[in-house]
Amino acid sequence: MEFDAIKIEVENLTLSYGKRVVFENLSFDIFPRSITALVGPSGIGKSSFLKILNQMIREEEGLHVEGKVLLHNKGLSVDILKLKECELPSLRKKVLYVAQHPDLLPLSIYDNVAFGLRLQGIGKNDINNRIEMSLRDVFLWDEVKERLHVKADILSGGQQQRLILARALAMRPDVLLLDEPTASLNEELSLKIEDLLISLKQKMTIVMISHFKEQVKRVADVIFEMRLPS
Amino acid sequence: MHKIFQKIIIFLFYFFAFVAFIALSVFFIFIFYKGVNAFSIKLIFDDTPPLDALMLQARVFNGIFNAIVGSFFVVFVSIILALPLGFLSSIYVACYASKNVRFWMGFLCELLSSMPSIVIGLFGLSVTIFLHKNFFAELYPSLLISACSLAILVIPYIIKMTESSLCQIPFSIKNVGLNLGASKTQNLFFVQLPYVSKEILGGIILATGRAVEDTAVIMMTGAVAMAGIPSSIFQKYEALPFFIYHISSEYSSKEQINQGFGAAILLLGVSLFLFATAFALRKIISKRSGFGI
Ligand SMILES: Nc1ncnc2c1ncn2[C@@H]1O[C@H](COP(=O)(O)OP(=O)(O)O)[C@@H](O)[C@H]1O
Ligand SMILES: [Mg+2]
Repeated sequence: MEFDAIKIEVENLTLSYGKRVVFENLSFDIFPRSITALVGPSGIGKSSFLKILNQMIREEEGLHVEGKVLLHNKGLSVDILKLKECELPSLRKKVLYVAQHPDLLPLSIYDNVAFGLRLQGIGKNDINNRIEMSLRDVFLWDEVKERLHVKADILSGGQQQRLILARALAMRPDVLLLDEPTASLNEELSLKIEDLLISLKQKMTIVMISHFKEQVKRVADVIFEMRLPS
Repeated sequence: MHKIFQKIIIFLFYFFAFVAFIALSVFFIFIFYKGVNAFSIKLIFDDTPPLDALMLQARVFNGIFNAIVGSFFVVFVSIILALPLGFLSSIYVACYASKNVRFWMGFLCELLSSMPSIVIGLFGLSVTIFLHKNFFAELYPSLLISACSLAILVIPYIIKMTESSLCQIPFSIKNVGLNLGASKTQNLFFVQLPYVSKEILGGIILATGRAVEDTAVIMMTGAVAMAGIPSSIFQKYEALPFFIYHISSEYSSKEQINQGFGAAILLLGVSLFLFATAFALRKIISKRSGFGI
C-alpha cells in the first residue's frame, strides 16, 4: 500500500486567541505508525491542536499560532505552519481530521463518503470498493448496506460518528487525527473501534483525543497530557 | 387572571390574522373580478390576429401585447446584467472580503435597497442626459437604459440574499470540503453554493419580481405609452406597470380602465408564475440533492 510513514515534530508551539494564550511552548514528537493520545481537561486546546496539524485552524478567526510543526516524510521536512494556501489541500488529504461532532453533508450515506474520493479524481469502481471496505472497518456496513442512498442524517449519533470515521479511512490518510472518536458509542462498539485503531497503526500515524482512561491505556503508545500551568 | 389574559392575547392574534386575511381576500377578489371580466384575447391583441402579432407580422395598436413583450425584455436584460454582478460580488464579499469591506458593502446594499425607485430612475435619466450631451449624441432613454437602472434597483437584493445565506451556513458544513482536501474554490462550488442554492434562487426570483413591477424607474428611463415592439435595445418600449399607471391616470372610457385591470391581472399572473417557478425549482433541487461533484 502507498501509506507513508510520517513523523511529526512539534517545536515551541504556541496558540493564542487575541491576548489569551491557550497553550504555550509545546514541544514533542509524534512517531510514525504509533498512536499518540492527547488527554487533558476540557478547553485546554486539544481540538485546536489537532486542527493545527491539518491547518484547519486557519479557518478560525482571531487565532494566532506560533512555533514550528515539522512533517518528516521520506527524508523531506516541511513546516506546515508555513505552507501556502494552495498547498493545504494536499496536506489535508494526507493528514485527516475527524471531528468530534459528525460534520456530514446533507447528502446520502454513499455520497458523504464518496465526496472526498471524487475530489481526488478516484474512479467509480474504486470508490465503491473503498466505501464498502471502510464501512466494514467501522462495523457500519451491515447496518447501512441496504440504504446507502438515503440521506445520512437519518443515522443515529453513534452511526454518524462511525460514518465520518469511515469517510476518513476511505481517503487512506497517512496521519489520522481523531477527536474523541468513541464519545457517542456504547462500550462494545468502543472496544471494537479501539481494536480497529490498533490494527490501523501498521499503516498510519494516529493522534487521538480521548476522555476514557481505560481506552488510552489500551491503545496509546504515547500519552501526552496537557495541563493547566500551575 | 393569567388564563383570561392569555385567552385575550390569543383572541387578538386570531382577530388580526382574520382582518389581514379579509383585507387580502378582498384585494384579490376585486382584482380578479375586475381583471377576469376585462380579460380577453382582444385586450391583448386588439383587432390584430394573435398569430400575426406573435410572429411580429402585424402591429398591435390598442392591446397590451406590446407592453407584455416590452416588460419581458426589459426585465430579462436587467436580470442578465444584475445577476453576474450581484452574484459574483456577493461571493467576493462573503468569502474573501475583509471585515471593513463587508461592513461597507452591507451598508450600501441596505441603503440602496431602501431607496425609493424614483431616485434610481432619476439617476438613470441624469446619466443618460450626461452621456447624450458629452459622448453619445444618439443615446436617448431606451430599453437598455431602463434595464441598467432596473439592474441597479435589484442588485442589492441579489447581493443581500446570496451573502447572508452564504454567511449563515453552519460552521461544520462550511468547512467540511476543506477538511477533506478541497481547495477553497472547490469548497465554494461543491459545498457552499449547492448548500444555499435555494436561497440564491429565492433572491433571483425576488429580484425578478421587483423588476417586473417597478414603475418609477422605467417611467423615467424609456417606457412610453405608444411605442410598439422595440426592434433594438436602444429604442423606447412599452411595459405593463407603466401601462397600468398611464391608462388609469388618463382614461376616458370604461373600456380603458378595464384594460388597466386586465394588465393588472397579468402582472398578478406573472408573480404567480415566478412563485410557481421558484417552488418547482426548489423541488427539483432538493430531489437531486446534487452537490455538483
Ligand atoms: N475560534 C475560536 N475563537 C476563540 N476561541 C477559541 C476558538 N476555538 C477555540 N477557542 C478557545 O480555545 C480553547 C481551546 O479549545 P479546544 O481546542 O476546543 O479545547 P479542548 O478540545 O481541549 O476542549 C478554548 O478555551 C476555546 O474557548
Ligand atoms: Mg475538543
